[in-house]
Amino acid sequence: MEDMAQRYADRSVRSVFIYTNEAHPGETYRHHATMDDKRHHARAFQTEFGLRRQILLDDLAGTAHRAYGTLPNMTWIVGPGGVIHYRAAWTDARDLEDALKASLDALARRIRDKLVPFYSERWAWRTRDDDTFRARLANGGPQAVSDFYGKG
Amino acid sequence: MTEHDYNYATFDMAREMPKFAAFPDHPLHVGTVAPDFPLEDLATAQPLRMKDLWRGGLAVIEFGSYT
Repeated sequence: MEDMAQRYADRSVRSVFIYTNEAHPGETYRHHATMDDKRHHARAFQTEFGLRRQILLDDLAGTAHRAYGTLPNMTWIVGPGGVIHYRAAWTDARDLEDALKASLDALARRIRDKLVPFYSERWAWRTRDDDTFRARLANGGPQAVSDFYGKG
Repeated sequence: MTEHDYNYATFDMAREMPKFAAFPDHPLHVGTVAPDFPLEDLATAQPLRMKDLWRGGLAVIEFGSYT
């Protein structure tokens, strides 16, 4: 995602990360009780994963996050006039880049080639990586792992 | 939903997973206009509007957390 953000930055694509509630809170990274908790966790995330994208926060109640569907790792593409071009229940760089290329291409050609948009839906596919997911859960602390996989 | 409910202390599969199933019915479909909310820049603590993100072209907006 970071590489993609850099590659498209000079094509008027602004890539940002909105920090949400903790999806899998645990002993190390607990739920947010204050905005400072949210800021602290967001900075730790930025350092740990080397984010270069701008990180943004909504309020403690997650007003923006909830309005967009509350899912833990969704991605949206929004175009001129605020029109939504893409929404995905999960972030997958390959699927996202496919959509981003299509939007950029259409916006560049829309007048010359008389393009008009239409609504379309499809299943997207991603590789399930249980080892990485479990390792990410462990970052939160043992509770985060047991809440997801059970106490056993 | 309260701040407390949103910032739950314990992940509950039965509570969280139905959100994925409900997402296709979420009214913010492609082709509709994205709502605008105030945000805070983590690096500078400065406020900005969400609509500023797509003012100059396309905005790619990922939501997520450490955990």
